[in-house]
Amino acid sequence: MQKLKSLDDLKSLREKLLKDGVLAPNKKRIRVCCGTACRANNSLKLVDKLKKDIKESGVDAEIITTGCQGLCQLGPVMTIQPQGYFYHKVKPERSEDIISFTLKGERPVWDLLFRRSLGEKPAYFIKDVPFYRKQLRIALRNNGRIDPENIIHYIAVGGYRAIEKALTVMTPQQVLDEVKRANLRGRGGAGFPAGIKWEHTKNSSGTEKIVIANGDEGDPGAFMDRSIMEGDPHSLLEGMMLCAYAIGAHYGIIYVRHEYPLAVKHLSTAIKQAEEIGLLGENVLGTGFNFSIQIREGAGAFVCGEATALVSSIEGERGFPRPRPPRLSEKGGGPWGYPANLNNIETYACVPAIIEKGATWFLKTGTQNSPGTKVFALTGKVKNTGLVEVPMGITLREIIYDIGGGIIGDKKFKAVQTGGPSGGCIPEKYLDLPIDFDSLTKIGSIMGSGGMVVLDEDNCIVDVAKFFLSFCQSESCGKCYPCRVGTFQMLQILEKITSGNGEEGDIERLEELGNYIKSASLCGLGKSAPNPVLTTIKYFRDEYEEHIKNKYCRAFVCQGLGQLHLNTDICYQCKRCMDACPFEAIKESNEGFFYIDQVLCQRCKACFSVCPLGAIEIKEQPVLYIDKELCYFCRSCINVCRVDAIKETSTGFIIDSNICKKCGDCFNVCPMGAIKYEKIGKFLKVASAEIAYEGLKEKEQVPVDIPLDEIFHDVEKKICPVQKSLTFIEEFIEGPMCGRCYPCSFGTEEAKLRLLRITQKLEGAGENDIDALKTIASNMIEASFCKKGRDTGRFLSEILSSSEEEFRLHLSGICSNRECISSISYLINPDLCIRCGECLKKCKFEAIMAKASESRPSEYTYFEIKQKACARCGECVKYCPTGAIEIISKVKEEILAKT
Amino acid sequence: MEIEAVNENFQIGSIGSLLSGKQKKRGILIHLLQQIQEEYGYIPEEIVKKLSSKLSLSMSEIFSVASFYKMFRFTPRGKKLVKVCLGTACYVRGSKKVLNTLENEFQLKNGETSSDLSITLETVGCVGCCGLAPVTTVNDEVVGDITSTGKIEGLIKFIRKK
Ligand SMILES: Cc1cc2nc3c(=O)[nH]c(=O)nc-3n(C[C@H](O)[C@H](O)[C@H](O)COP(=O)(O)O)c2cc1C
Ligand code: SF4
Ligand code: SF4
Ligand code: FES
Ligand code: FES
Repeated sequence: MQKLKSLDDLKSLREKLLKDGVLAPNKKRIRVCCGTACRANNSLKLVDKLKKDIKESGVDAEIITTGCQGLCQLGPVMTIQPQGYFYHKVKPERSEDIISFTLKGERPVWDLLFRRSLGEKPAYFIKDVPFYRKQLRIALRNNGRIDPENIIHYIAVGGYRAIEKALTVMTPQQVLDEVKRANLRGRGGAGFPAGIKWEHTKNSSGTEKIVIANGDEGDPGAFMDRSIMEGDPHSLLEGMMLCAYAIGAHYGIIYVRHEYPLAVKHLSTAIKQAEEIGLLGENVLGTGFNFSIQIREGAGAFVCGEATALVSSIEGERGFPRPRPPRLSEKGGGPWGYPANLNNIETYACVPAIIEKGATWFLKTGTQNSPGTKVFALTGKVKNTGLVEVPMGITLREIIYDIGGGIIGDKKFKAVQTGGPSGGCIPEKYLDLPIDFDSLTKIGSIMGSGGMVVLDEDNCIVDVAKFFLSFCQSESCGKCYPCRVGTFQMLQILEKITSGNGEEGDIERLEELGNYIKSASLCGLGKSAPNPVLTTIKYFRDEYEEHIKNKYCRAFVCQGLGQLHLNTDICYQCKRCMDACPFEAIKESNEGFFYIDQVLCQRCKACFSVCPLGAIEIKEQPVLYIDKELCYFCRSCINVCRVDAIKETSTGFIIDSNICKKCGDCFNVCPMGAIKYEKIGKFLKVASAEIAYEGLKEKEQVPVDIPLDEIFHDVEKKICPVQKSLTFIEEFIEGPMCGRCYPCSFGTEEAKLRLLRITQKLEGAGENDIDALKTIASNMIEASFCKKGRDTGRFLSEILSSSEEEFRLHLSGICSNRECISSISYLINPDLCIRCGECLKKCKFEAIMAKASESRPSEYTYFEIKQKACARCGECVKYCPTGAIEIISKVKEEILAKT
Repeated sequence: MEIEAVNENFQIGSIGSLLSGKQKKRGILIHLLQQIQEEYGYIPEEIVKKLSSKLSLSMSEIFSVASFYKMFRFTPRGKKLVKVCLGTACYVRGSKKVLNTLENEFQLKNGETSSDLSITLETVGCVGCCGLAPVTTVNDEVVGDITSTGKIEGLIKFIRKK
């Protein structure tokens, strides 16, 4: 390929292409879709076959392998020029027909044309296919028209004209202003205006800036960005170039999801071709503008679609999101600290059209606050699934019914989930809402990247919420507790509800947890993970309640809910259900009928799906109860119940509806007809509450009250109130404390520490210790379960109030009763000492010092106690014959010394 | 792949001119791991050792990054990857039995690979062919309806033949 050295070179190339008739509309040409979905439907084989047959037949026709054309479900699809026929579901063997009928005979192949139903006329051209009729293509303008691996095609359809215009007549500021004026909002998530983001990056300090395209698209069921990268990679490159020109960047990075190998291939080819032709690299088209782009592949982590996590991943770190600020657009925010501008693939793909045709043109489509179009991946229970680009402000009804063709099997629409796992469920009442960024946010969902999953009456809303939540739960990076642990807890609650074990209060718990997670998570994943659950609770609360209270799933999706019946009027005993049942729950009665043994049935619904006649019916579970007026306690029901659901209470028998399988055995056996059943769930609550109470009584272990007499006895020996309390607490911890209640177990431990501090006058001892002791005491009195705990609290509180003065004295180092160790010292009164040496002999700590003297009969002159060595054991006092060893409070001594 | 011969300037591309040597080494880590997995089918420890000295990153650092991303695996995979679907639809139609039979037949536990690296046995939660349940995939080829008579023998033969 010849390198283009100047803007004029590009212009003349374009003129030449026009003259040569590249992609001219009057030529015979087949555009075969070779997007990922059509490839899976064998479109590559079709292309080979067509090429071969065309060569053999000698027709002058060109084959173009394009990216996704949108209607993936009916692939492989193709359009044929010059007539413009649109064919779907083309098998390789139809190649000869296409050549002889259409290429040679210029007639359509009738059965390949699209028909809504057999009775209707076929749609000849793409514009007649309802799926395409309401679409308007800006981001996907070239998808399906050109060969993505051929840059010449892109240039021939007007590609790179925008960058040409920018480089010729526009300053970077003008490009930026144009994008800002067009109010192009980010297509990847929150809809932040791209122009403002560009401006931030442009104005941030820092010499180098980086342009990043976010192609991580991890949302299950979304493939908009993939289609652009695969089907029209050059429009992405051109959009990035325009951004780079506007903000003054020289490097670009495209972060592509690793599951998209075809996108990587096409992008690499596109970059290579653009470099070869001189549109990327140094000195683009001789204008002095330098820009290079490289591809980074992700490695399978959904959270890496989040901007800061993506930066971590580019740098080669674990893909943890980072706190903002700094934002990406600021210094220190982007990869390696360079300011970066990050946009979604679709956002960039819109830019060339805006620059080429002007913001005013762009503002004409869409709504006032969200101009332009949006690409959606329409999936779920609609007839035509695929990729659609529609102007903003279109209603959901138009997308689902006009474009999507309505619900499969004309069932009833239930909800539509937009925004993927971060979005929300929208109920029927909003079908006519014009959708744009703001209207969706207002009703609790988001536009997101554009996933749109349609649900019908056969989908259980709780189950769907659970599915989305479990996706986020497994994709949480684990950095924040609320997100990591909270989503797991929510999932467990949902699991409980869908398996028939839901409890009253679960919905509230879900809401509470959801709100915590939303407010306390760092990144958008955590902040939005509870959305599907919260919106479904908001709009479909009755369905949640039905699961919890009535144990019934109206969509028959959740296992373990509802009750299966075999309708003997319909059943013709083919035994298919018997073979299908893994639990052997379907039995033959003595009369020869089949029935479902409710005790064995696990509600897996295998029989339900296998029965050809629909003889298996799923109904709400009834509630059985015993009429106390009629029951005369014969116990036959208790004997017959296989699951022990009937409990004997002091006032009679009751059926625990949580255990009861509703098999009806008791009903059949009761001679009094005392067993009755009712359809609604209101008895459930009463019966299970009664049981819960009965159970509690049995289980309640009242701790044995140990009398505290012994402890009181020990305490009596002490005089100092602080010592008294310490001894009491220590003995209590050693002995009778069971550790069951926190106020007691933690409280006494803390009290012990604080008391020790006071007696020892350790560092930090102070008024607050006394206050804390008071609180502990009153807590124990109030909240301890047993008497001994409360008594301990009472003792502490009494002693504190009666001798608070003593406690305070200790804080200044005085123990008036001289029991507390560090507050007192021992001194030898020289006036009384007869120097007998008894104390010296008895002291175990070698704390007594003496000087020897010849002139004295006792060899000693002078005795003294080494205060550091003295352990205050008090032994010496006992042995001193004259009572010369005195106990002195330190503080008093100091006072003495001063005077 | 010759780890020693890796040139970080080449791998990181033109943006390398903005980066320090250390940043470049770190920046190519994920890319290299992808290439290693491509070549070996998993991330062998010896290669990580080499990588560690090449990139001046500790091995724990490398494993910490690699284990974050779902695509990396640390044990070799057999030539034949057999995935038994334990999704709901398949489970209730006895796919547990299929798993047990295969475990006995090939003397492997779920998640293990045979010592000659010929076969890996894994489970998967629904491959989207629930209509054919129970389903097993062998190197992405779907074999359905295994519990009907004679099919499980067929499956075993099919796996052996591949
Ligand atoms: C968990 C998570 C995943 C995301 N995944 C993507 C994605 O796959 N593609 C994308 O373009 N944006 C994704 N985003 C949004 C980006 O963080 C960012 O807002 C967006 O790419 C900005 O581009 P825009 O302004 O053009 O929309 C994701 C956000 C979060 C929180
Ligand atoms: S919110 Fe979740 S995904 Fe986001 S950083 Fe915190 S833990 Fe990670
Ligand atoms: S729902 Fe499952 S367990 Fe119950 S009868 Fe049907 S097949 Fe058997
Ligand atoms: S891949 Fe062919 S229409 Fe989407
Ligand atoms: S559950 Fe096995 S294929 Fe869906």
